[in-house]
Amino acid sequence: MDDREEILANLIPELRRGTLVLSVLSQLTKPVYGYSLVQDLTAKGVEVEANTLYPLLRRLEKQGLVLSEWETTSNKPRKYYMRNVKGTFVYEELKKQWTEMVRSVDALLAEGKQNG
Amino acid sequence: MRCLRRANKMDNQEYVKDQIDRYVYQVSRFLSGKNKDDIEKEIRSLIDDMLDTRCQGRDVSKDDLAAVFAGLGRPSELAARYNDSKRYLIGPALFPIYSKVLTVVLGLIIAATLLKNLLSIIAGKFSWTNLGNVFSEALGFFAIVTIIFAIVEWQGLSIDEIFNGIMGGKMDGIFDRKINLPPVPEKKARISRSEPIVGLVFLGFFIAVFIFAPQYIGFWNNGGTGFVSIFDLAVIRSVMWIFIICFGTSVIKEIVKLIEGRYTIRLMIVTIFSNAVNLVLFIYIIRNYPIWNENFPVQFMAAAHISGFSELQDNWSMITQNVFVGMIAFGTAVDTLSCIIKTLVYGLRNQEK
Repeated sequence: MDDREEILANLIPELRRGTLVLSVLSQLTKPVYGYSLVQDLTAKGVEVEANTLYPLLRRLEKQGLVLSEWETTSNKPRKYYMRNVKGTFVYEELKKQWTEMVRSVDALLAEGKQNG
Repeated sequence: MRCLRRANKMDNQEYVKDQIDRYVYQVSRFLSGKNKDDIEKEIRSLIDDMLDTRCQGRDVSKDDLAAVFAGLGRPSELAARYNDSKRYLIGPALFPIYSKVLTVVLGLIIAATLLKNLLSIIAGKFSWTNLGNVFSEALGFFAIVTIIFAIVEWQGLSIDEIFNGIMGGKMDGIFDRKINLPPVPEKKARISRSEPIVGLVFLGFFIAVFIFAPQYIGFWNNGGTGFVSIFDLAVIRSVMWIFIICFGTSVIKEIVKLIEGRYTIRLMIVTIFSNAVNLVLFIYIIRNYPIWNENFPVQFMAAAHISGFSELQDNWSMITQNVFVGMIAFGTAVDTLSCIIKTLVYGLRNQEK
């Protein structure tokens, strides 16, 4: 029985999951609400489900990395999120880690290519 | 005509609102904490946005609702994503130990109750109700073990901390990053897991029969009254509490063996204590209570159609009083001495500082 697809279906989301916080923090330089962020990220090739992103935003808020505010002046109330100073600090550090990681992993993959 | 269409539209809006209310309510049932209302409000706003994007101004249909709800997932699962910490009855850290303990406990209980039933079959007193009790007793112990572990989980106790307590700091170090693992014991100082487990299984059998069915320890008289016990049942029952103390210390000894996994001073002390308590209490019982069935040899020989050997009956009290005590004392001494020697010769080498 070929279970390759099933294994990949588990591994790919796992690979993505770790980078989600970084992707989300990168977009929060200005106030945005959850669903627009879902659409934005998806349009930019970072697929994320609303039921993942919304709880994530709340977790970031609880950790004190983002601020939030309800926008109630329009007929549709929406909760907007934005990075604060602490969030920006964490984002910059994560970005450094990411850059290093990409470099290292790329090197590993290139090695693999050479060896066949 | 126009009125009718407007009425339909109103109905539809109410239908959609009602369905959203239902979904959000189901989610809220699984939410906890002070942000509950805020989360509900945000999910409502999210559903609105999702429907808007999907319908682009046209009326919302049942299919649209179904698709949006499917995208969000089951209410309980969506709520679980909001509830920070994963909540378990028994979490993954605790589960391996839980399942091990459960296997041993349930194995013992089932084996003991089955044995009880087997004996009742031999005695001709078998009933299906008794066999049914195997299930309910197993279920009872399953519940007890599960509740204990669930409390540990709920209290957030880490199993490493607990073991740290029991094992007197053996696991220290892994958790404060000083590498301080216990040294590998010499081969002869090791106690394999199976030894105390087999010990516990036999103890379990014996305790179950001794406490619940001492009448079956003896022999089966075909022609006569069924089992003839080697004990005087009334006396045995009156001193049962002393036996229970003996069994208790023996069980503790085996459990300490299981936890230590090697000969240590701690285990040696427990062994000496347990064996001493057992021997003293046993001699006390034998000397002070007529626990033996006085006529056992005669009854046995009659049933087995053996004649002669009248000395056996004549000397029965001497045999039970002295020979038996001597055997028990010898066995206890061997066990204690072998433990002391193994501890002092092998156990002290390679010990943790």
